Amino acid sequence: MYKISIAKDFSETPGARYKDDGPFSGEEFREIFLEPLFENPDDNKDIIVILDGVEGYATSFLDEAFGGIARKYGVKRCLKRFKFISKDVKLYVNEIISYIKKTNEK
Amino acid sequence: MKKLYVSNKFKAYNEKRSESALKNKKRQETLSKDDLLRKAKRRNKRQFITIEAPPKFSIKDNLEECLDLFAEIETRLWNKERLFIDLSNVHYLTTDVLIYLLSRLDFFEQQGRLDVAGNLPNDPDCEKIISASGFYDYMSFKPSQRVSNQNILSIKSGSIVQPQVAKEVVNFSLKHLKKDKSLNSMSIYTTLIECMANTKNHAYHVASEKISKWWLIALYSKNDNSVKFTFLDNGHGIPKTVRKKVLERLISYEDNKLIESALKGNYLRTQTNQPWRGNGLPKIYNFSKEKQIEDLVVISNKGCINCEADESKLLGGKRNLNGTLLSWSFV
Repeated sequence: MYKISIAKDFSETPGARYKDDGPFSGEEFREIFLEPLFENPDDNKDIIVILDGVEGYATSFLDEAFGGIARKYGVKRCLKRFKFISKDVKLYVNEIISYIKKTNEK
Repeated sequence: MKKLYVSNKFKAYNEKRSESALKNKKRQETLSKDDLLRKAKRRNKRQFITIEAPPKFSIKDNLEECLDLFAEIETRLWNKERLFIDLSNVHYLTTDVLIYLLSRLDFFEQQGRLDVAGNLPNDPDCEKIISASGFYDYMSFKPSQRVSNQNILSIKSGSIVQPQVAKEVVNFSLKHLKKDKSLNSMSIYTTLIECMANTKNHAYHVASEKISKWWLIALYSKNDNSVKFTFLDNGHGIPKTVRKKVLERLISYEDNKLIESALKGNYLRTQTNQPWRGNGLPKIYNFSKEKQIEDLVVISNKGCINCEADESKLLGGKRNLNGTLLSWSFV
């Protein structure tokens, strides 16, 4: 099992979609924290993502981070591995899942 | 090769060349000084044309009259006329006009066509708002003393997404409203990031720090205990940058309808044509519908949408707002 706290491990102030857009983008988060956990196709351990503690999330950040990983490694694998934890922002959990599902299955 | 350059013939040739280059340089320097003087004299002889701002100087509350004023300012600046913007009669002022005026003056300064002076309103409250807004930080002419006002978050500007600025704005709001971080304050943060990202990715066709800017201001209003935000970009505007349906491409479509559709997200309006994108404006619209932010008004080109009142208006005549202006409040 892997555990990532976006606020503690990445930033309390997540930005937008691409690295070009500005600091703490979804692309940056995906490349640093998520992609290394998906590179090994046999690794199917759970990934716990803690969403609390941030100032807020832009749709583009969430889509590029989680929708982006689903576009690259498949919707089913992502939905199976990701477990989202949030006390403050439960709404975001459903939003992230919808971004993952929006992606065409690879 | 090396020997060639140290030969006497080349030494003489180089000396002659550098001498004439030096002469040319000196001649240009003296000429440019004269030129500058002559230009300055000519410029000082030109009369200022006074443009009077309306007493109700507010885009949100007096849209038509303000846009007419800005149109006149712009026409005259394109004609390289000297302007004096008279604000003395202004007795009602909102921050949206300040950032719009500032953004347009900044644009004309980039074009080298800015020759503007002005005064402050006689009304002390309006004068305080302008002085404390940081308006003059962006101008080459500054008043002798800057008034500080804790109720105004001075004008911010940038060309990329700046999460730290968004955090600063949220903290400013929470401090004045004496609130803790909540889902609603997160909506403010999200709205700001969405607006900055839209400016960066969609508003301008050219990504340049000097041109593709966003502007932001926040003001705490004691009267209704709310923080009022205005976010602006001077890009092409939502109606010109959204993806259009075939019919919309063939016949001109009303700007307010296109903005409404982009806000409601009922058709894939993103230029990228990627089905997973285009969520920013609908997200802001949902915040307004869920009352997480209030009084959301979106004005872009000829369209004006009041999300709370569910009103959509098409501006008449040649009236047009350059770019996109969003204003909302947090209670």
